[in-house]
Amino acid sequence: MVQYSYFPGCNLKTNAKGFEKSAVAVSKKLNAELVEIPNWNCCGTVHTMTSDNLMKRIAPVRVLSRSRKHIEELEDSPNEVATLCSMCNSTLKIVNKEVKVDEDKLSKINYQLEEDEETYAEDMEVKHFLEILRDSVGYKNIAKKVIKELKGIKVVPYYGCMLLHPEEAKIDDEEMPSVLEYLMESLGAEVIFSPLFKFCCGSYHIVDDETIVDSQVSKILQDVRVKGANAMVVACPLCAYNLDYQQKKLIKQTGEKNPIPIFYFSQLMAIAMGEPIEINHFEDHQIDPRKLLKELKLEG
Amino acid sequence: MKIGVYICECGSNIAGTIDTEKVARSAEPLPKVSVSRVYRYACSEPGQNLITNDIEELGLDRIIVAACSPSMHEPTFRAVLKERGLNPYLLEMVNIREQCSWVHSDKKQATEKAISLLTAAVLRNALQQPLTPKKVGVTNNALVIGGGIAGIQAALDLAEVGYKTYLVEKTPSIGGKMAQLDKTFPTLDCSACILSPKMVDVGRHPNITLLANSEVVEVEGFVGNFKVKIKKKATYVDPVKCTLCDECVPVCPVIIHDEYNENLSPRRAIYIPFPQAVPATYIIEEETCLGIDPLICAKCRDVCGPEAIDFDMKPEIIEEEFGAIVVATGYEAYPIENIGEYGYGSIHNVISGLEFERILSASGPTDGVVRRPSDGKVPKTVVFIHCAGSRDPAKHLPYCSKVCCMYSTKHALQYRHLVHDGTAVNFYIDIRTAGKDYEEFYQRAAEEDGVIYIKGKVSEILEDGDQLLIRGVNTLTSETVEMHADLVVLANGMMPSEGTKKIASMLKLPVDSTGFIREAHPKLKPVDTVISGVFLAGTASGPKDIPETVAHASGAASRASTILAQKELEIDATIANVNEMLCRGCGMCVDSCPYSAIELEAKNSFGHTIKVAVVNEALCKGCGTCSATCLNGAIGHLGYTDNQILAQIKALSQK
Repeated sequence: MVQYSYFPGCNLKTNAKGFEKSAVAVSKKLNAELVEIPNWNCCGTVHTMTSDNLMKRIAPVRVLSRSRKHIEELEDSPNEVATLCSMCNSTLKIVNKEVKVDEDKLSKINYQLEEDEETYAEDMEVKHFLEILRDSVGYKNIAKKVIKELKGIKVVPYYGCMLLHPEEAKIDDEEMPSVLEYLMESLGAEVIFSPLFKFCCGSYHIVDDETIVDSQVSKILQDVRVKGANAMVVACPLCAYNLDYQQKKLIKQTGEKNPIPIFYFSQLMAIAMGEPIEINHFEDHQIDPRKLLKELKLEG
Repeated sequence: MKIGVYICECGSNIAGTIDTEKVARSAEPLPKVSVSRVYRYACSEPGQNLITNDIEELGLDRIIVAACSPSMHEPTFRAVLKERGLNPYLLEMVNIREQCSWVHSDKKQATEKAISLLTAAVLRNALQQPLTPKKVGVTNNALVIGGGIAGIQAALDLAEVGYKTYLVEKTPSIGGKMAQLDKTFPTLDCSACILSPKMVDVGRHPNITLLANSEVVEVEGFVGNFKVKIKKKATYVDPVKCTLCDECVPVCPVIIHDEYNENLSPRRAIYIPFPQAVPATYIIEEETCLGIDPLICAKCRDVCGPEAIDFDMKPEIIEEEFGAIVVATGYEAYPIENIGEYGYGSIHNVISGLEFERILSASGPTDGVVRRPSDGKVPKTVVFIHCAGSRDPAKHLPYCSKVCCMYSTKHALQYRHLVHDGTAVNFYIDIRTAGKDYEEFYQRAAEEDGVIYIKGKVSEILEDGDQLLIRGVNTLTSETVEMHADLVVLANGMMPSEGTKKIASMLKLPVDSTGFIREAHPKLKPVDTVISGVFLAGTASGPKDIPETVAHASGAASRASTILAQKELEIDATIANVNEMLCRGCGMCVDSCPYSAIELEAKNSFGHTIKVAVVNEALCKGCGTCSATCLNGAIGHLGYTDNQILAQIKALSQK
């Protein structure tokens, strides 16, 4: 069994529990087990990336250092820290690259880390779970583990921004990403293309100006409905939150009859691989996906 | 030896920052100096007369002028010395303008610097030897590389003056990019109609030897005496016998993309590039033909009435000497597939400017009806995006490609003329219409022909059903723009062609940061290069439109004539020379010489054969790289000997 040192981040423990549990479950099936770093801390998110202050890089570098230590305890583990959240992935990747090219920065951060008897030797790579699935596991091996093909699910892959931007953190081609599309096809789902697959969901504006998020989300969902899809698949907890929570609100306002459930890619994998439906925590979703799964006789 | 020193005030250019009187006084006590004077404008007629009189009355034999850069007035003062029977190389210019007064503000310090520079020059000048420039003969033939409109114009002009001119073109026909255009701005006259008479003239002119399907493979020699090897590829069709009957084409089993139509239509392996091609002959494309081996397929030969097809044709190497070379190797459209967000290459209905040009053309793949590539429908909304690749220093070309505003405007206008109910939208950064009647043309498109202009860039193009979703910004209203279109035309920028890069490196022509060949002077020598005898025509030196290219090419032809008209040329005497006693034949100078002017030759020395470096006096530019490289100090530099430079350094290091 190949084990990966896995960094969850805050969202995965709060409003995206189903994302984490389903991902961990399928990772075991695919011989690429995600094992949580025992004493991880916050990646720093927006605070890390919106200033040049080196102090704000300490948190992500400490994560990398602890993950490096964690690897020692794991089985056949490559020098890679696996992430699920797009924001964590982006933050860790950018900071990792930054300290790899700038020894001066690294030594300053290491000086701070010494207090906690930590040090980082720039020998880690940050990998999103999707990258591991694509590059290390392979779509063919995923398809082999599918016991229940996702017949009838017409899904629009939606990438959002953080998986593809900026250049240093992208996991796929920023203009024509394909990883979610191929993954969904290997699960037997029908992939439907929407030109708004990279259109911003509104992101953190959800905390200061909901109307921005509303206009973005309603556009995205409108196109998904026009194209005849019945589900969306995402990889980012923030995209999922905006598309799911705001959709509920918009449906109340407009009386829209056709709700679109939002899945994390790992949830659809878990269903296709016959994991118990409870691990997906569908009860946390505002638009309950179980209705669609029941219609398609996929609920378990 | 009597040295005369003249300090120029250059109005206030020098006198404003330097105490010229003090400088002049400082030179008086120096050895061998007979006279030291200040004059307001030394380069003026009275200034020159002052020097002439002093030479006669005081018997001066060496002159020092402290004034501007030698690149400005050294020839002026050398002529003064020559007139009075002195050796012109006994003149010394001291640059106290560009390198002193212009760059300093403190008068005291600037004066001190001028004094040191002058003192150094006096000490050096005392050691100077008279030098005699060499003379070389001139071959009165011209070579023009590249058969686009620039090369055609340059070749015709040179041939008209009476010089034998070779025009070398890589592709099977001359005409270049202009032959692919449908109409030209701002007059909307048909490109082929104005180009083809010139092409025909080239084919018929008794002074022009046209080598199509040929490439320059080697250039040796120097101004007046270039030795050039040209490879003429085999065409497998005898152009004299070929009657252009077209019988061979339908039988050819090979179907490939037609580059003349920007790959939008098919052609066969035996083909004529386009109906007006010059030389007017069919050719067989070696790379795609099923086999120049007639056992495999000889269908074309079987049907050829006049028996023009000859599979035994071989490529030939033509060696010829030329006095001057005109480089007209042109441009290439920017590879817009590099602009990921526009999706060119993955989205069918996103096309390039040249592709649209072919679609508009009556001889093009759609017979002049505007149809889009994906389904052949007539597009009802066409979006034209300017600056596709241009003016994007972060990711693409940093410069403005100059012609795209106008050709996109022309495209939009032509589209509106052909599809009356169609909408044409132009996204632009700025509209640049600097040219005669260009602004009027743009006004006409916007005001009379209803072309819509939106100031702003498109951020992405996405496929949405059978339409295209265009997302961008209108920077005048600061609103995001989202619209659907049936066809998007990208206005590719211009970049140096492969041929331009290849010829530049073959001729050792310096290129600028963007890869275009650098002019000898951007303003005053726009068609010269730093290699004497090599001239530039057209877009090899930067983006140009057709009128500018034609004027540039005529300029190049006229500049080339100034060399071809000479019987012999004088070569500057300040070149490298080898002390054979010191040279040990290591060859480091040979490797370091940027002009390939040094060779190792075997010499007999006291019964032993040794190798020594020999400088080709005609090729040497006197750059001094070899002298600096030589470990034995065996290569010196006439006019800049070690002694002279040491004397200068000594003077400069004394306080």
